[in-house]
Amino acid sequence: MSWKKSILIYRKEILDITRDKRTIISMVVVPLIGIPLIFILLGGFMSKQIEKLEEQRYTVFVVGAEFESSFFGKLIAADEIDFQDFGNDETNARALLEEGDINGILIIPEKGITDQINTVEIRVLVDQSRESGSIVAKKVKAILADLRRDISIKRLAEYDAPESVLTPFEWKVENVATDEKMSGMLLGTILPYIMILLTLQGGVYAAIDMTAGEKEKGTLETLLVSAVSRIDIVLGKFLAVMTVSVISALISLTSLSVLLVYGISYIAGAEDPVGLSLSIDIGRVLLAGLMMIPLAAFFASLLLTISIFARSMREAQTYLIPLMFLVIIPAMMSMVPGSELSDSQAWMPVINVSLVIKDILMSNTDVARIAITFFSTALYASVGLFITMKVFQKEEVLFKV
Amino acid sequence: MIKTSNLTKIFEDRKRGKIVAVNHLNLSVNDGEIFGLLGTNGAGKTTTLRMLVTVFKPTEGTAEVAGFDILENPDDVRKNIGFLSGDTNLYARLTAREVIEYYGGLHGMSRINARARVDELAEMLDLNDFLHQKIAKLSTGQKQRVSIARAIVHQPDLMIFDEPTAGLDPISAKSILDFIRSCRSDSKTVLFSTHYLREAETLCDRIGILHDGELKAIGTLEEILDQTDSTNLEHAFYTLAGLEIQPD
Repeated sequence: MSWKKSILIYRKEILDITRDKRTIISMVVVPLIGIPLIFILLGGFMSKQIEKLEEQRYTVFVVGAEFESSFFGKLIAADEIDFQDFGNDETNARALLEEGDINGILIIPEKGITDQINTVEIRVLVDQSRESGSIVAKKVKAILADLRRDISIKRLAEYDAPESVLTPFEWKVENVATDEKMSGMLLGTILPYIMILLTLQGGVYAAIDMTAGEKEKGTLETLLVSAVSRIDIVLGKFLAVMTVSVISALISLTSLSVLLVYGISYIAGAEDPVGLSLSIDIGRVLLAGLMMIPLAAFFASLLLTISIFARSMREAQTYLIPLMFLVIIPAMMSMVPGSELSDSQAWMPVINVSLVIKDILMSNTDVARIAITFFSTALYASVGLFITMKVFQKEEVLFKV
Repeated sequence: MIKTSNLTKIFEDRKRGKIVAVNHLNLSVNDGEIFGLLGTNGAGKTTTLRMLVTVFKPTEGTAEVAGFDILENPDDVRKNIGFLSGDTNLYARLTAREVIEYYGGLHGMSRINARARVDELAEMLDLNDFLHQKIAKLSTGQKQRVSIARAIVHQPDLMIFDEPTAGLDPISAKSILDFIRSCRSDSKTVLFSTHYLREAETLCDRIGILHDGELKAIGTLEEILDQTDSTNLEHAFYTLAGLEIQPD
């Protein structure tokens, strides 16, 4: 074995691969621009859609009681909902609701809301299979709550009771989590998954190009007949794939951290855009990045071992699809609500890294589990590399004779 | 320079079972001679050469190449040979200079030495016009010249060529054949395989005829013609391969 030759191969592979547009796209453009762009566009589009749905004026038919001004005045005055009297024809109103011609029905008992003591039941019918359904329900509920309060106050006035009778107490929920912890929670959920995926994705093209690509282009035999051992070849290629993977992961870590911290309100589904003063502990982000190094090594060995079996780059891509699935599922562990790294999970490949990064970002630092995750992943990477070297010794694999 | 003893290669094929590609081959190539290994497609030429350059391991037997045993010292064997075949292509995204320097480095040359050697080879093989161009941009002939430079960057005394002219246009093929001739004047040893009888006739000091993995004849052109009672190599080849000879 000669480190000098491995490093020479490594440098050549990096030079070669960085001259290829496809690598630059998968290593730099996708994590730096592609993924954030997806988040921004998707998030922006979704929040715009939600805004549009919220702002729209909806039609709700009122069925049952007469449309008398004392009660309905407030309903008619509502800006967001156009309440219309539909007499007593509930059946037709339902048909219209099912057709989507109207957005809701308010069913009020015929006797109306004149009784001073009893509670009258009002039914709100919406079609929740439509996106507008829950918005209409929410808006109608708010209007009705206001109306109920107004009527209650009026009734109380008749008994000379003050308004405060209705409100024995008020409450307020306060979030004790620091901005850092909140950022950690948000980052910890999404980031591990995306980082693991991009670490793998970043190395895929490089690994294929350095193995099946060399076979396809006829450069492998040139390399094999030169005065270099196969161990040196594997080491050089392994380090090159790992470098590309790590760079890809670090770029995604940086771009997503910045995106999540400064653009959190844009993120899809973030209904409650947590205060925009989010901040991140750089030390924790670096520790999370450090955990990606043995994982990138593990991925590099898997990618090289699998793709050297293929005769062409296209074939290699097909061979790697199952690996992508095998990685995606455990990588998603960080997104499972309430998931935390257990002692046994610290030994499970990919799952451990996904959860340990989540823990690190959420400030749940357990040194022992971090160490187990780091070293067990490094161990799997070493075993993987050993297998890669064995496979590269097999002439039937290298030449498919 | 090369001596094989009972060199054998058997491939296991799931469908076809055992395939004996090379069967107890015994031949020797002397220092400074040009030796041609002649055979049809599938005769076992490529497999033989791949064993000699240590890319394949023999199933049985061994060989001594450039003073080293292919099983015991494969790394030393590769250090002392230059190999060129239709399957030894170059990295398309690197420049001609980068490729030659890279292989110089893999053969243990220092950066400075590799650079100097590239300058020397560029003069010798007329590469200067495209030395800084990427391989992908070069013509087939230019690529061939860079390939030759790549194969001799470490100044090996033994050159092994596997069907070096297969698929090349006449001009590119000529540059390879001229190079093989120049090896003779540099007193290098050359072993090359071909299925072009004419190449063997004009270039080789000695010829070996391989058929179905077995060496059917070995010797100078005259010796082979004598052995087979033939007047030309084509006739001798068909006789040895047990093929029907079409009357002229």
